[in-house]
Amino acid sequence: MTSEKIPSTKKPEAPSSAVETAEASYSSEIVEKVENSFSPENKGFFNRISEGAKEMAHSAYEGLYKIPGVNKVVGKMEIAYNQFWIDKNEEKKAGLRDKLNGFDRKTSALDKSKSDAEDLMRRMKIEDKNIPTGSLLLKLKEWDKQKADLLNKRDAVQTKFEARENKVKLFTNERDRIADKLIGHYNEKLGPLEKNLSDLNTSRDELELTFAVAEMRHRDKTVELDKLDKEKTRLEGLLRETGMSDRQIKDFESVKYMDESIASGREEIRLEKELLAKKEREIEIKIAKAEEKANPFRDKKNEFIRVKDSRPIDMGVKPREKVEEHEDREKINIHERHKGINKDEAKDVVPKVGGLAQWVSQGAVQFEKPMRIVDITPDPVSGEMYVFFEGSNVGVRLSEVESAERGDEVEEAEKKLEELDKDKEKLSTLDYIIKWNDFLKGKYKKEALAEIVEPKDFLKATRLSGDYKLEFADFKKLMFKYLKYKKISSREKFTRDINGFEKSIGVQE
Amino acid sequence: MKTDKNITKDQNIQDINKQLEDLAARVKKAVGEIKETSIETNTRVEEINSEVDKTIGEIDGICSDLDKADKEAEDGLDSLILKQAEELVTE
Repeated sequence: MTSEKIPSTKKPEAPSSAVETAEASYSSEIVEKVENSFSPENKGFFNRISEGAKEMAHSAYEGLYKIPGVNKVVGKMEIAYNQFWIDKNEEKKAGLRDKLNGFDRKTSALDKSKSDAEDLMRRMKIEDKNIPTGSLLLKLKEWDKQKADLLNKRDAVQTKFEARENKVKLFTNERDRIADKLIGHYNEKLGPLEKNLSDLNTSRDELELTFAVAEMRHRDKTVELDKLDKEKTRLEGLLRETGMSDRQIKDFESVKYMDESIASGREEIRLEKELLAKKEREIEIKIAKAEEKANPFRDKKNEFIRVKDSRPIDMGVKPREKVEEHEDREKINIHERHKGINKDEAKDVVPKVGGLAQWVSQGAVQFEKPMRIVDITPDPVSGEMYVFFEGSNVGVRLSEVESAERGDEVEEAEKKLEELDKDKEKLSTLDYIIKWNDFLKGKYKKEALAEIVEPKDFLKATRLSGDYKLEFADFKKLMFKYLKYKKISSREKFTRDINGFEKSIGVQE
Repeated sequence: MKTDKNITKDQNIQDINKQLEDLAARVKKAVGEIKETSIETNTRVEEINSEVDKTIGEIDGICSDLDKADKEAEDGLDSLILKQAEELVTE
């Protein structure tokens, strides 16, 4: 029995010569894989079919197991939809059709002979020729019998022909039913699947927003702890100036408390950062795995339709929007702070009462900003001059005080800069939202309505209070993540708007 | 009897101590806020995590359902292909 080879349904992923070679050397491993892929019921049926049919089935399934990564159900559908089956049926039908034509030709010939004989008999009767017609009548009967036999045989072939036609119809109907049922099932399930995947994206966006807020708050608190620590060091320095030893200073309850609390605060931030980073990774991995699992199903439905239509289809669907990869961390603009007093300008000037001065101990500036001198007086015992500053009873050696008199301008400039910096960098969250909405209304008029940020919702999503002070860079980052989470604005549009907004409120980073 | 210098020194220390206590109160507030932020963030992250788990559970359910439909279709197609092969060969 000859083996019927079904043409490969696979796309030309391997050179045809390679495929042919592989086909020639039929791998028993593939045969085993094919047979093991059947359900017990199909395996039982497979064992009962003829060797020729088995070879044909192996040939059909071969490509499916030879090329890794081929989706089984799509591949099997491709096999079922392969024109091979229709062509083979057409071949069989053509043979039967030839037979039917043969019968038709023979019956026509008999009909013609019979008609000619009857014609002859009629003419003989008219001419009254006394010629015996018995043999002709016998022949006519014989032809009738032959025709009846032919018609019976033809009917049998006709039945086979119709049965073949019906089988093709049954095959295509059953094949379409399976495909339609599967596509219908996919249609029913893909909607909820898409919704779930979209929900995962929303969760991811919300997570990003939460982490961005946490990151900002950690940074703000770290800065605050640093400032408090510096202030503590300054006060310890003042205690040292009174002649207290380091040990005595460390015994102060408040100093002890602060040492422990500042350290624990920093540790809390460090641990929290670690925990959040770990959690972020875990959730990201979970989401990625779920997407990886779901994505093939999204693609499969289109594959089914393509196979069913037996032609490549252009679904007219945009490629799935890959979730835009976000930079893990957006740049946090660190605004360069002004330098301290220009010592070269200040050191030549003698500190005087009413003037501004800085306390410099062991080369380190002790005050956050120059303080006003309220008194300069000698120590009654040593005679050494001490300087007293506004708001403090602590005397500082004159030798450790540097005038900021000529630095007045510097200080003023610094103050202005600081004020300006504060104004520019730190607005309350609510102020930012109001200004942002005003900016959008000004730019887009009525069309801005869809993009207006509801302050309550923003504050709820970020869990910030309305008066929480934000640097512009933080506002930008949080607003971007908030809009993404709420699916309000695209990255491109946001970039355009935020740049315009930045200019409109006069921020210069 | 305390000298003027000692009196000034004591006053200075008291003054500094007062400032230290004020500072300690600010530190306490800051550390409290840090802890509060941590709790708040963790609570929200856990809520999101639960939502993610729930959604993933639903996705798993759908995928398993579609897997089942795939298998059923595969079996149907196998049966059809085998019958067709047998018919084509035997007739």
